[in-house]
Amino acid sequence: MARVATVVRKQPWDVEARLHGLNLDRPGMLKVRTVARSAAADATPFHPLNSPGTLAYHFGTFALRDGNVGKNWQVARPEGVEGIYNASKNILVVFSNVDVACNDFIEPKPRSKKGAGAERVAQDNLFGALPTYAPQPKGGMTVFYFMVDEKGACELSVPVVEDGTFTAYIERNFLSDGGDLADVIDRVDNDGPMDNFDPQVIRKRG
Amino acid sequence: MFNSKRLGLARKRRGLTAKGLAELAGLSEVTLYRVEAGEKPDDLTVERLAKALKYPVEFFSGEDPEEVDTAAVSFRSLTKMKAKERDAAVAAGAIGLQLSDWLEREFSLPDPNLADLSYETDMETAARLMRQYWGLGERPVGNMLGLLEVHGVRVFSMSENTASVDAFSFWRGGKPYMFLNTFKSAEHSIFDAAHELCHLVVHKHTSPQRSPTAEREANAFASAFLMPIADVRSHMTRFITVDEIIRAKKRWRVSAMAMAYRLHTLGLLTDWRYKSACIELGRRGYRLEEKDGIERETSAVWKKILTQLWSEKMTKSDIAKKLNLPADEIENLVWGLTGSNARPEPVDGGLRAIK
Repeated sequence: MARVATVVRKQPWDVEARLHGLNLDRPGMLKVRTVARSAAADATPFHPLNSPGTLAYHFGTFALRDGNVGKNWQVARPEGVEGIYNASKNILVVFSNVDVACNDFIEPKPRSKKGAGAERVAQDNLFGALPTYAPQPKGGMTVFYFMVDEKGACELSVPVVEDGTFTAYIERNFLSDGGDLADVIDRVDNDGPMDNFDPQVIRKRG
Repeated sequence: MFNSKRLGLARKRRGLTAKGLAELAGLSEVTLYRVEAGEKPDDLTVERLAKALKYPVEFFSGEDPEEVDTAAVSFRSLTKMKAKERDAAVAAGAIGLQLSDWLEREFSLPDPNLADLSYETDMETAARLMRQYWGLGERPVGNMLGLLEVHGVRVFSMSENTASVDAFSFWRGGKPYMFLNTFKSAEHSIFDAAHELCHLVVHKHTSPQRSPTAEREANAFASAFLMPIADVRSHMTRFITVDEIIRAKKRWRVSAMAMAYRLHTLGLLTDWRYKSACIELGRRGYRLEEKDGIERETSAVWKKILTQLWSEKMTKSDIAKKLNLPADEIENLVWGLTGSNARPEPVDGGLRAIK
């Protein structure tokens, strides 16, 4: 059975062009990732075991809305799926924790089972993955998942949601392998410390 | 002519009681008390005292040593400090003044350029004014020692192996002096230097006796001076973890605890998160030592001076001989400021001779 080949964008210029077309931007999405991972790291041994993921999801979704809701985006929760919706593009973006992101050989899987609502909302994605002879739905909403793994790697991708998980991908846009997260503070340092002090000491002649 | 005040100074530097020194020198306590009271000792007694104290005999025959006004000295840990430690530290100041006077005769050093902020009651504002005065803007200070030296503060080391002596500072003859305990971590010394800067500019005209309020003000000033509010806010993410505190401390060159405290003060860490961060930092050992610490700042002034003296075939031991001081006292006053005891390398923009 012929299937639609997954579109994978890895080059920054390619990814940025795609994001621009979606009324999104890379720094903004990376900030969402950073907020989510920082929130996950706030969990202590006193928190419930699933707190890192829960905190990342809560604050990741918050950051997604905080950084984007305005001109193009609005808060949306169709079928109870929390995200942001762009009416002009007819796309929904949802935050999701995944096991591995931005990996050429492994496709991301959600760290928690997707509910029936997620499957229903993403049904138009599903049609896209069907054999090319299947009738394509007209005007269906595309659901993008902003997928973030524990190392901070992240991608914005359109999965097929079946049986509570991501079974295939229509497209994947690689944003970061997470290498930039550990050094997030230094990375934005273009105004580093001042240390060029040269006190004048002059020898007196006797 | 034997000077009993010099004997007292040397004894305090060595952290000895009169009884302890008498035993060490093989003298009776009565003899020592008489000598300290002003009675002229015989040559053998002087030799015994000098040997016991490891000071040159010549040291004891100079003029009265200039004593640092103990009331003007600000110690950070007043309550924890023993009298013996305090006396030794103050005596280090007196020895330091002798070295400083010699330096001022031999070298021209930067003129003092400190703002007088004694009218300022809000430490956040005072720190900002001091930064503006020096044109620092909001950027972190990458070399606190260099900054102080450029603006004419005479900085000396006080390598006291005790946790309760941090630093002290005072004005003398229109010049600001600062003694830092370089036995502490690099981050601790930097915070001490900023703390003492507050005493020099904000508490300049107040009563010499440092009150607990003045100490709290100095801590607030140091925190604001080293971690400017706008810079911290713009570089910290919304949700701050302990790992992020540990990363962030390197930018502002402070301890993790000082970083967490500042973030809490600025409202970037809630009470609960601050408490949690302190507990976690303590658990990771940050209360005992500054892990993955920064490199210790060194004195550009001392490096230039020692390089110049070396070119004249003069070492720290030679300086000690000129001043009739033991070599270890000179070493103590520059230890930790010069980086190492190795021969200093010539530096760019070194000394110029006035012809």
